[in-house]
Amino acid sequence: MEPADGAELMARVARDDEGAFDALVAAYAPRLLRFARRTLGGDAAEAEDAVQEAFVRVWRARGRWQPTACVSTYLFTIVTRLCLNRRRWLARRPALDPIEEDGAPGRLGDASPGPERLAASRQLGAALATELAALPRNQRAALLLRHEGGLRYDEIAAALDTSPGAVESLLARARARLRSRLAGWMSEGNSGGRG
Amino acid sequence: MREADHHQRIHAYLDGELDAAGLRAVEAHLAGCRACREALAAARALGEALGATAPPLAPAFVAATRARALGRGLPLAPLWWRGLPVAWRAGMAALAAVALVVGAQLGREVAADRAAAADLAAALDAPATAALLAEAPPAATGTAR
Repeated sequence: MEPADGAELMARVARDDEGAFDALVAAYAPRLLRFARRTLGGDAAEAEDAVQEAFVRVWRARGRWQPTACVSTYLFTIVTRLCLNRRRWLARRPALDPIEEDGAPGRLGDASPGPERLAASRQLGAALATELAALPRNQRAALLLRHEGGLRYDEIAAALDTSPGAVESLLARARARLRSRLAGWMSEGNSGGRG
Repeated sequence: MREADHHQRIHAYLDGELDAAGLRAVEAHLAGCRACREALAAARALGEALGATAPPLAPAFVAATRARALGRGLPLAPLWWRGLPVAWRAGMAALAAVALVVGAQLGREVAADRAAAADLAAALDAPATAALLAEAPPAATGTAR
């Protein structure tokens, strides 16, 4: 999940390197934007604002960067806090437009999906967006921090002000609910070892 | 361990959160529990769907973010403004324009009054006027000045 040069970029940002700041934004913003949009129930404008605000804070606090920290965890945690602090999204949740969600392409199957498979993955993307938006806020945030951000349970717990045990429970409930709501789509997984 | 606890532990298992003993316990359970194997497979498929490649970044985003972080360039309009319907924004802009015109006109009128007041003050400061006022009773001086 962590770009190989994330730590190096952040170290250069800490030394006021504006070019490194651009590279940091380019490397992390795509996943942060999708994470924010999903966390905010599909609101692209709010998501863009939250992610920009997060990078503004990173730049302002660059002198306090600790090289031992994980860049991805740091960024996802800031974006999570900014998203959860936005109260307006609560009222806007029903305004989700599932078409805005990208189609979650590719990874469910073949390396070169045909038109039918691509259409199916787009439908999955739309269904997933709808069901994500309907999840309770903390369940959704925990699930997205795990899968978009690649955060460990203790890192998710810190971002959400809860315990690692509670994170496990949040993830179990979120996945169980999505599984039941997306039963037709989720049958493609295979059983076996850890993933 | 209750079945519900096993169901929950498979998530920690999937997410790589278990120690060696925990791993062995879950794997032993999975070998004999079809429901948990299916739940694990579903959770893994969900993770793959969620973690698929994110869409590419809009080209302007990097520059806009840098401008905002460094305080250069025009910032985006505040969110409360961008969130308003277009008709509201147009109405508020028109109201602001009207307020500007009315304010400018009021400003011109106040300026004209001030010019007249300045002329009067200059006239009162003239030596002849001062001499005239010196002869007037104190109360009149107070109101004239």
